[in-house]
Amino acid sequence: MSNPTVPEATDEIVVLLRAERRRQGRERFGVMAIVTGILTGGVTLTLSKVGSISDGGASVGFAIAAVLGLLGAATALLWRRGLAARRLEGLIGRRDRLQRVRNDRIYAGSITGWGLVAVGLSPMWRIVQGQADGDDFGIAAATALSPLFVVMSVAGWEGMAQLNRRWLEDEVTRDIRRRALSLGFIVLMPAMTALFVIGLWERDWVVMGFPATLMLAASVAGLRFVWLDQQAEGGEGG
Amino acid sequence: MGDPRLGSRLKAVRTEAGLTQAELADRAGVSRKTINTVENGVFIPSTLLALSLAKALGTTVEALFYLTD
Repeated sequence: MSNPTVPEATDEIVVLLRAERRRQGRERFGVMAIVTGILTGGVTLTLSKVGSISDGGASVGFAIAAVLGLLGAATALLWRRGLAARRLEGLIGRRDRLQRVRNDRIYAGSITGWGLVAVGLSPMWRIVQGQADGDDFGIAAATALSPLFVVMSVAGWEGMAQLNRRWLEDEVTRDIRRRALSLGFIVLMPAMTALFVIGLWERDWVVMGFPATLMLAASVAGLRFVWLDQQAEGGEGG
Repeated sequence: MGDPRLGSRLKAVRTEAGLTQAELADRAGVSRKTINTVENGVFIPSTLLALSLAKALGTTVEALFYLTD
């Protein structure tokens, strides 16, 4: 049944896919550590401005943020794209290549969006306290828009998706998208309900928590999309 | 999503034709992961996709897919 000359090319793709997946896992861990560092720094800064933590506590928070940032940067640099990735791109078609680029963008948006949420915490706090300037409103708007970017990427509405629609859209992608967005929506509903309940007592926290809630649902949808797409790529055999 | 009622001979027919997943994907105008998911029974192809795959392999849909019960 099998032709000995045929599976070799597919086997190489499978081997390269596995190698790439291992590398991407480490690189993504690095990106996640950097964003967790930014998130820790943002929360620490906001809490210190609000006066919820002491100077000592803030120092510990900033130190943890710095360590996470450095660890993440080193990891991401050590496991950046190499020869295996380039060889894989040479073997798979344009369609698969572009879909891999899309996945990387969705993953990056799903994780780095949390960094933007962290950066936006202090400006949002100043806005709810009535002490904001023009920049604060700009940063707060950017914070609220970052989940939208992720959702648009998953839905295939952003520029790259529109430009390469012919290559990026297929039946499997539509199925994966449906499942990813459904999970995002399932997360969004209870999260927004919880935020509403909190808002009955602490109205300021609704404004502060809104971008994080949207980002939670968007990143769940984004990461689910990336995971399902990776599963579809396979790697078990030709 | 797959369905246990659908059987597939896609992998057998493809390897018989001397094609890799990537080559068949190129011929049928779909991604390699589409071929992979259909071969592994993870994804049920639409009529259009089944016809495209059959055309790319020079066979019929019935030769590629069958009902298991």
